[in-house]
Amino acid sequence: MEHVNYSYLILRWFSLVLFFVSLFFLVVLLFRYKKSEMGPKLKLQLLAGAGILPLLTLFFSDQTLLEGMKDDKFCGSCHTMTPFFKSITNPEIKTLSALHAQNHWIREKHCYTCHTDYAMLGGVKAKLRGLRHMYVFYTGQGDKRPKLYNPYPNNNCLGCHGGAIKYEEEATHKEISGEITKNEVSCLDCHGPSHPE
Amino acid sequence: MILLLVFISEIAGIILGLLAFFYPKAGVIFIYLTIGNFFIIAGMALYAIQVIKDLKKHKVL
Repeated sequence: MEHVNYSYLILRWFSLVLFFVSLFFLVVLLFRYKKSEMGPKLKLQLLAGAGILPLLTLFFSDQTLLEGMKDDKFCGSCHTMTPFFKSITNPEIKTLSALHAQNHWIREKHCYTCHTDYAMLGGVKAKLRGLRHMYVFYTGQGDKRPKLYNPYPNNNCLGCHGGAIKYEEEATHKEISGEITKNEVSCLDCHGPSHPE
Repeated sequence: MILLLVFISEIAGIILGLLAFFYPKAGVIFIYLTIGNFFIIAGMALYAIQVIKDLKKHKVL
């Protein structure tokens, strides 16, 4: 049974309705403004159809699309990413990412949660990396197995595990906490591989 | 003439948006978020210019 994100569904439907209403208004105005004189009623319709509605449509549609891009299925829609997407849903695979996804240690948006850095610009950096992925994919360089551009930042793991009792009380973590924080030792050195090799 | 450009620009942007909604591939979404958004914003900007022109013509501004 799949979790349904109702707020996203509502946002999506709302955006779709806005798209069609805006389109309807614009097409009607396109034919009406030629035929008639510009009276106050038509000016108001113009304000709604060419000013307010497109602005609302733009805002909500961008929000919906950016939210939808966080979904695992979206990440898996490029064929180079499909094996990674399949690996996290295959119960026979027990890699770190698969365990996190299958046991709902991360509830949803698994790819996005692990591959987006924290802090204010984390999301922006992830989108820029996404653009790079897209460039590589559409220029036909995407047949090779993709690799991370930089070593995986431990901070992304610590975003959830840091401060947790189970993590903090582990002797090895205490011993090398400095190295972990400075990214000198990767979490994946002990807990990897994150995806099937 | 400006209003015709407003309608055409905004309709083009909205059609690109609908395409991105019904065919949500990375490339299509990227085209909407860049070119589609540009068309809609350009349409609204042209409409704003038209409104300011009208207001000046009627000596409101």
